[in-house]
Amino acid sequence: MGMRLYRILLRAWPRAAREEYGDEMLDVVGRQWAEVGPALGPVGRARFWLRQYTALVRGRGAATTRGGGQEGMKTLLEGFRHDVRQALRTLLRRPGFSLVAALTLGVGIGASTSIFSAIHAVLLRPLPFGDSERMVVIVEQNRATGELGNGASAQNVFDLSEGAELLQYAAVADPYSYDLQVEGRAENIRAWMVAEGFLESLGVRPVLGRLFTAEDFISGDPVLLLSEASWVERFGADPDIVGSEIVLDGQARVVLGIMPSRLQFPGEVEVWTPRPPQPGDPGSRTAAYMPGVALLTPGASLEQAQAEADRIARSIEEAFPAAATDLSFRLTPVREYLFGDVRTPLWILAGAVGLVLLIASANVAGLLVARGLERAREFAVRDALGASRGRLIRLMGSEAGVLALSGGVLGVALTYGGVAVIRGLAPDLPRIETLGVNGPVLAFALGATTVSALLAGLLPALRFARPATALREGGRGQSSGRSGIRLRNRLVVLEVAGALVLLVGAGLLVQSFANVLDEELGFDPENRFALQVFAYGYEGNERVQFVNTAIENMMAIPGVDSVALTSNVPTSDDGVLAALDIDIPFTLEGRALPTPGQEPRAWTVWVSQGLFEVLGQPVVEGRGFRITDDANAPLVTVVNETFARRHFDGASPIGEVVRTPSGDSTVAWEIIGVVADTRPRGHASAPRVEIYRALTQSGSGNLTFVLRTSVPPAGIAEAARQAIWDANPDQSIWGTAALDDLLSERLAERRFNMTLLSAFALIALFLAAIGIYALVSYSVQMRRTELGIRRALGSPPSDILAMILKEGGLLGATGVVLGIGGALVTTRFMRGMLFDVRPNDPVALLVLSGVVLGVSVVAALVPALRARSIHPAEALRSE
Amino acid sequence: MVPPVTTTDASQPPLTHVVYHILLSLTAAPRHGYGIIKDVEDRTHGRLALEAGTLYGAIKRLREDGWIEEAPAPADADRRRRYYALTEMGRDVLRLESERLAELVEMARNARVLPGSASA
Repeated sequence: MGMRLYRILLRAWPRAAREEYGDEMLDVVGRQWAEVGPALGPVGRARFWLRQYTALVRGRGAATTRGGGQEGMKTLLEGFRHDVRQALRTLLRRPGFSLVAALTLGVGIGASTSIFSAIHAVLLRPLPFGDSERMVVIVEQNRATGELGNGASAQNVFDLSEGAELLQYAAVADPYSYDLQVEGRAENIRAWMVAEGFLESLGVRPVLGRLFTAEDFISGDPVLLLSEASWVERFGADPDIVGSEIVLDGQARVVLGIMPSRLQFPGEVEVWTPRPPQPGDPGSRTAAYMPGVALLTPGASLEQAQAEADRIARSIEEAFPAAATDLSFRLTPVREYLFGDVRTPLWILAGAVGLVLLIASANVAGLLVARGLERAREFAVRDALGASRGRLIRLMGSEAGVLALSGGVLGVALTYGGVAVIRGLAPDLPRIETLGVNGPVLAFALGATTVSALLAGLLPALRFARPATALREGGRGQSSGRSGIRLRNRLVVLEVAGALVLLVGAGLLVQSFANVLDEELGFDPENRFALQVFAYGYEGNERVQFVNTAIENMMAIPGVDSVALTSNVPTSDDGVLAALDIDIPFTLEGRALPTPGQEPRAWTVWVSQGLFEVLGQPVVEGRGFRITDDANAPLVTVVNETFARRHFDGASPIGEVVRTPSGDSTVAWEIIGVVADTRPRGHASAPRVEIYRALTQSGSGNLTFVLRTSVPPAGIAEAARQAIWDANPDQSIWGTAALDDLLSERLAERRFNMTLLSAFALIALFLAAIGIYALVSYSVQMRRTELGIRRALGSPPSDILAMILKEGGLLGATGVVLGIGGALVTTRFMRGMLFDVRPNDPVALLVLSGVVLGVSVVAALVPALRARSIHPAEALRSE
Repeated sequence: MVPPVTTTDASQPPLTHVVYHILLSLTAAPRHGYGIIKDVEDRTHGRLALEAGTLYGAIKRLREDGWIEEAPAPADADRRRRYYALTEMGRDVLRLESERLAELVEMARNARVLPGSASA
């Protein structure tokens, strides 16, 4: 360690010296180390190397011959301290200026550090896998339509693992839930039944105990792995739990090991159980809901593995034409799979916040240039007294440095707030729980501070350290500040342009958000509460009895108006409410039969009578289900508008007959009604072809109670759960949610991007306005004489006002032109985040350009009014 | 940057103790870097332990100033190690500096700061 760092530090030496003496030095250090090192304790060793490093750094070209190296160092430090003191004194003399500058930088640094903290937590932290570079996620994709599934079928992935040379382990995880008896009540716990090779692909190591072995998959012995969090919360982190038994679904299972809690893949999980291979079940090939994983064989590229998987998919298709049609596997690198959706928005926010930091720095640079112009005389004097150019650069530089440092401290403080805001806005960002102010985040803040110090300080420093200029500008004021003003003009124009780019980006997101909210949901989410159970294991009439009792209990809750059942509420997801999407092939009576395997398919939802009313989903044609549509009545079905449009082309489907497979034959269902389309995954998702069946005619154990309430649903949540347990204490509850909360969560990501980008855009606009204000004020100040003369020569005040406003407007207009160009280039990257609005939407561009122009003129208004009131005589005096 | 100091420069600033000791250790015979460190350590009874960085920073400057030079290594030496020897100028500088120090010590004695005053 010590020697390696020494080698690295040696690079700080000038190349020639390093080549000349480097080997000798390493030899000498090596011998010294060999001599004393072994006898030293850890502190002694640290001290040894520290001394060597210091000597190395100090020996680098320092005045070692005479005058004393240490003294040289001291002089340097002394000078630095002097500069800082000097800068502080100058800055404190103008507290208003300094405060504005430090605040500006603080906001820029704080905002960018906050966004960095999110990027770090979500994207940059290492993944909890053994080899995330080689790990791929496998889902099935329809080769004909390109439609991506939620997962793959166990059987297909098993065949893939058998046939693939370039994949190791390919295996699926099957989402499952077990009942665990806790205090006499059944609790639902999330589990993954993993096929052999799944955990090996993840490359995860147990905290305690062991993983499944090949034996565990074959023997079928009841075993499980427990998550660390569950181990701590439910079992008090008792290490003896490994080897003992836990009863799940009434069956005792042996705990083999504890899994690290940061492993929440492919989703929330408390328990893992082995999924035994079930070969030879062709029907299982269509159950493609299980995410699969695999490792690329070392040396294999993703493309090669994908090509091989494509070949295997074809051969599966040939072998099982009825069960696999247009099958293909899509291999996605795990990083892409996890973060594909959030990566672009986060980087766009990073770009936005970088722009804010740039604008803030430009603003402070502009302010420092202004200060420099005012201090031209001071500089001239310093120059005359023999201050070197370097000295003047250092003077200006240390002012920027002190400002940036104050801004950095403020920025870190703001970051704590920013992190809280991000947490509040985006609870669903992957790995958001690791978000916080930590070492890397602080390091970033330091970097941002340094960059802003350089940006803000370098330009003015270089500008004013030319002694000749300083002298000249110390003379009479008139043309003096011209070149300084030009520089500031450019800075301000860039600020305005940057602000417009951000505003256009934010405007597009706001427009998208509004467009999304305008989408018809097809039902009314307000005051609707959903509670999902998996009611399996009932015999005969028991389930109906349980359901009826539960509904009675719920109706008795004050504030509950009506209750109905469905197998799938719109907007459900795999988090709180599980979406068990089932699409069933069907044929229409009286139409030509499609080739087997090519039948159209429809998503099927089982509902109770009254569900459409309770949900507020309009029946647009025909009727909904009635209580008389029971097992003894003819089979009936309701379709949605998309179904009617797709398969009946606008004609009425009422009375037509749908046939679905049942064993070897088919069953006929008469269409009795058409209901409004709903959106399966929230506002922004497209409606799909749906068929509804009555629970009374074809049962389902996957039941979601939908409660329509006259009070906020949160108030009845606990009573609703109790209503279930009163009906059957052994019935576990999968999840509950207020429907508008579900919708709101679906919008969280959009809201997050929109809110942050808007905030940044407003900050940028505000900074640009300050920039214009400061610049125009300054220019008025510099031109007092000229303006006074104009007044004396008879220019009316209104002319002066117009002249100054025009100055502000011109700055704004130039910035706007540049900004439009910038926006046209950059907003293209946002395409994926937009909804029903194009990246180069002319309305957004025009409106926001107008806003920016307006703000520019307003920013010039105060100095313009001041200019108007300049009295001729006073103006002449001021020189 | 710093002009080479000539032996006749009366206003020459004092040498740092590191440089003084390096020059001193080269008076008897050429030495390699590690040898200089050991020699200085011996002479000062371990009070001055040079680090490689300090030593070679000094060697670089001393060579540039022409106070020391590379000397042929003995036949049996490790080829990686180079030997350094005093130049004429280096010897003069060391002598001048020593005289200056001696003068100082003399003054201290005369001022009775030190015992054993020299006869006037």
